[in-house]
Amino acid sequence: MMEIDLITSLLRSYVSNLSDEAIQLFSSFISLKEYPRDHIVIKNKSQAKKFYIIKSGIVGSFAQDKRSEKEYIRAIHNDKTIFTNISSLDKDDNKSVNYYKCLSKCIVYQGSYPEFIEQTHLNHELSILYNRILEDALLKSQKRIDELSFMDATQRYQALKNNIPNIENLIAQYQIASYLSVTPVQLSRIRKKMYSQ
Amino acid sequence: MNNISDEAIQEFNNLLQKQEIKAGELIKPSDTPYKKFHIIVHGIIANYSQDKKANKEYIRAILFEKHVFVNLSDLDLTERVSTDSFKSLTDTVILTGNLNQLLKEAQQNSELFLFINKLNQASIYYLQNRLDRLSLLDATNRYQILKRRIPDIENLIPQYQIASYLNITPVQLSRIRKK
Repeated sequence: MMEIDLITSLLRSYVSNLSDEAIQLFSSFISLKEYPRDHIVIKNKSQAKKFYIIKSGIVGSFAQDKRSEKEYIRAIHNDKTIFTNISSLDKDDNKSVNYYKCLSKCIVYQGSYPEFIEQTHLNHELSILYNRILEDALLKSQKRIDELSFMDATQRYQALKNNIPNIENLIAQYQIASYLSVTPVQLSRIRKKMYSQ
Repeated sequence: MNNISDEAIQEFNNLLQKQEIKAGELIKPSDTPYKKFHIIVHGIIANYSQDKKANKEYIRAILFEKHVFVNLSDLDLTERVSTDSFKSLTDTVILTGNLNQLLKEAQQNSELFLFINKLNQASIYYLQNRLDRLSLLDATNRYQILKRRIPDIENLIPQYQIASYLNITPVQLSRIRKK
């Protein structure tokens, strides 16, 4: 029952007047999964077959440039985040490698993405819900780009800490550095400066 | 979406109005609440984002024909970190519609809603790509990609704005160009 409550409050944070029936329908095609740290949730080149909602833990969205093999953490997803591999929707993208990995122990809800999409064709409420989720994801992606352009590394680190206060205890330093687009050495300098103030 | 019905397309068309814009004209003054969406027929439009606190401005996106855009920052009701504006870099023709009206129509017409969802998906993908390029490619690579897309970009926007789009300083940009 607690699970339904979490899903209910999450879905209603997107669409406040979402009906019980729509929530019931949504809940009927998700199931709970548990993964250890370092588990790859979505492999590269896989079609978006599943979507996930994090109940607890941190999942990193990784992108790698094929030529240089440079890799970075594109997004850090924490609890109540919904995600799937949207890059697989582009059929002719061969330049980058994308995968999703648990950065800590994770409990997630997993659902069939094609099934959900099919339901959005049949159920107008779910279509609206999907629209809000996409809008939110759009806004978040845009904010991340703005942050990289407007903020220096210290400010980006603070923003991350505001979002997930105990991030240091959850994932490795080099992973935080990768997300912030700094080297681990730069990150440790930033932390030193912040904590000595 | 290749199976969208003629009726839905017609309904969508009814919302649109053609608009011609001269090079350099601003489509949206920075801080008025904005409830329109646009489709570029031809021309190039730059999406400027301005940080309120730092008073910095940069070009977040450069948009071409067949791109659909709205002022996304208006969706952000809580933080309002940035304000957006859109400026045409060339003489541009756009189709403009009322966003609220579109969403209202879409409440009644699920085809339209599916269409909007597809657009949103594509936009997320587009933003993600931009983010990946900023993080994974070096500035020279990013400059080359931009030049490939818009060969005469140098004549359209000042150097310091190109630099800001590439997330480098003007000095770095001039070094890259020299090389």
